[in-house]
Amino acid sequence: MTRTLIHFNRICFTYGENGWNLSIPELELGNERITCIVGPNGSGKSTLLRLAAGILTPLGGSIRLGDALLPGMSRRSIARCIGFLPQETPPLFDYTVKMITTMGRYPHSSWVGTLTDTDRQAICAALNAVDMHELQNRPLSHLSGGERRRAMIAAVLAQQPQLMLLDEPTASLDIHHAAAVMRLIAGFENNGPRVVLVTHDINLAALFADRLIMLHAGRIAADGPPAEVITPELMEQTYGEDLLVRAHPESGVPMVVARRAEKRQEGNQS
Amino acid sequence: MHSKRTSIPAHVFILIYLLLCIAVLLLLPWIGAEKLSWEQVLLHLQGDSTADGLILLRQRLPRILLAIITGGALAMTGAALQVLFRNPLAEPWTLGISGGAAIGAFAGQLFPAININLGPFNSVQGFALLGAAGAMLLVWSFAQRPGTITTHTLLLAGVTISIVSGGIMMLMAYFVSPFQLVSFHRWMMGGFDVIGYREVVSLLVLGLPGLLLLGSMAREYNHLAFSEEMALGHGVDVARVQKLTFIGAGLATAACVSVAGPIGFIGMVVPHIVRNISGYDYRVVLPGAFLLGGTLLAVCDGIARTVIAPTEIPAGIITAIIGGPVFLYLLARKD
Repeated sequence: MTRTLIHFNRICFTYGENGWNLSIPELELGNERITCIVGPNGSGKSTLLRLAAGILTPLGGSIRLGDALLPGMSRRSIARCIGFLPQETPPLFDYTVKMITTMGRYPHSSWVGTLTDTDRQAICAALNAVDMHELQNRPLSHLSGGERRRAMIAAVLAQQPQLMLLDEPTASLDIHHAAAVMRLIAGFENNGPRVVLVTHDINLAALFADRLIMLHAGRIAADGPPAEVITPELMEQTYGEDLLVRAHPESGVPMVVARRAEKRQEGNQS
Repeated sequence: MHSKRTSIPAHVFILIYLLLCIAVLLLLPWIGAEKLSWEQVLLHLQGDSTADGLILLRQRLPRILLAIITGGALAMTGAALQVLFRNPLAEPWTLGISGGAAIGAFAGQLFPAININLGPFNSVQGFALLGAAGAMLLVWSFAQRPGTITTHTLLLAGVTISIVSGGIMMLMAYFVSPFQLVSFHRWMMGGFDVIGYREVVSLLVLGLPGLLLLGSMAREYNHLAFSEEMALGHGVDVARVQKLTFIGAGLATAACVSVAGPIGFIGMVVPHIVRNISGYDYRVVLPGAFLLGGTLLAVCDGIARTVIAPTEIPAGIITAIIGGPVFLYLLARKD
C-alpha cells in the first residue's frame, strides 16, 4: 500500500505584522509511524500542523498531499486522507461518545448521512481501539479528561485516514493518562494511520516518536530520531541553558529535566 | 438522564412534536371571542355558507397557520444561529436581525412610491431582507473581531442593534400620518391581527427557501457545534455552511418580520426546550424547533386573542412576557 505524504515546499506563513513568521524550506510528513513536533511556546508547532491539515493556507510556497495541491482540494477529499484533531475546545452541546465518533464518518457519507454497514464497522472498530465501547452512550461531560481525549481520537480513527494530525492530544492530562494516550497511538496496527502530533512534553515525545521535529522561532531547528535531536547543545539553543539531558532509565532515549538553580548562579557558587 | 434520551429513537420525538402541532392546528380555531358551533361549521363544509364556517376557515385557520409557520421559522432560525455564533442565547431578536429587518420593512411600508408587488412577493419583504442582511453583517463583523468578544458582549451588541432600530422606527413614525400610525404601532408589537391566506403565501415566498436551506445543513451544525476546527478536519466546508446559514436566517427572519413584526424570544427559548427534551442532534433539533416553535407561538396568539376578549393583544407582547424571564434565567445560569 502506498502512503500519502504531505510535502511542504518553501512554505512561509505569518499571522500579522508583529514580525513572527514560519518558514519551512522543505518537509515531508507521513513516512514514519509516529512523528512528534516539539518546541517552546510560539515556535509554530500548531501552525505547522494546521498548514498540513489545510486549515491554514500558506502565504508562499506549496503544500502537496500525494500528487495534489492542498489548497485546490475540497475539505471532504482532504478529510478522506487526513484526520485532524485540534486542541480541545469546549463543545457547545454535550454530545455522547457515540455521536462524536459517528461524526468522523462525515467525509465518507452521502448527503443524507444514513449509516451504512461499513460506517457502523468503522465506528465500532474505532470505539474498540480506544477502549470506549462500554462508555459510548456517555455524554462528554461525564468523562474524565483522559477518556474525553480518547473519545476524540476515536472520532479521528472512525474517519479512517491514512495520516492523523493531532494537536496536543496529551495537553493538561495527568502523566499516567498522557502516557496511556501515547501508548494507544503507538499501538495502532501496522496498516493503521501514520501519526503526526504536536506536544509540549519532550520526554513523552522522545519515548514514543520515531521521528522528532524540533521547532524554534518558526524554523526547524532539528529533525531526526529522538536520540539525535535531543542533545544538550540543541536544548540550550531552544530552551535555554537551565536544562539537563539524561537517559531514560528503561529505554535509554534521552530525556530532559530542569536544573534546580540557574546555570550561571551554580557556576558562581563553585 | 442521558441513557433515557438515547433509548428513544429520534423519529419518535419528531412524531410527538408533529402530533402536538397538528392538535393545536385542529383545536385552536374553535377558541376565540366568538363561540362557534360545530354543526354550523359542518354545514359550511357541506357547501352552505355560514358565518361560523367563514370565521373558522377564513379568519382563524389562516391566522393559526401563519402563527405556526412564523413561530416555527423563528425557532428554527434561532437554533441555527445559536450554532453559528456558538452562543446558546442567540436568535433573530437578541442578535438584532429582527430589528434590522423591521427597519427595512417599515421603510418599505412608509414610502408607497417604492412599493412593488410581484404576486405574493412585495417590496416590503425585499426591504426587510436588506435590513436583516445589514444587521447580520454588523453583528458578524463584531463577533469576528479576535479575542475580545464574549458571549455577553455579542448579545449586548445584538440587543443594542434592536434598541437602535426601535429608535429609528420611532423617528420614522414621527413623520407618518396619524392614520398610518395605528397600524404601524400594532405591527411593531408583533402579531397576526390582519390576516388571510394571502399573508400565509407571502410568508412562504422568502420563508420556505430560507428554512429548506437551514434544514439541509442539520448534520453540519452538529459538527460546528462540537468544534469549528474539528468540523474542518472532518471535511465540513465551514465557510460555505456559515454563508448559507446567513442567507437562510436572513430570508426566514425577513419573511417573519415583514408579515408579523418583530416577535422576540420564541427563537431562543424553543431550541432550548427541544434540546432538553430530545437531545442535541440537530437532525432532530431543527424539525423539532419548527414544530414546537409553531405550536408555542400559535398558543401564545391564542392567549392573545382570548385573554381579554373581544380586545386582542399582539402575540409579541405575550412572547416577551413569557420569554423575557426565561432569557434572564438562562443568562444567569450560564455563569
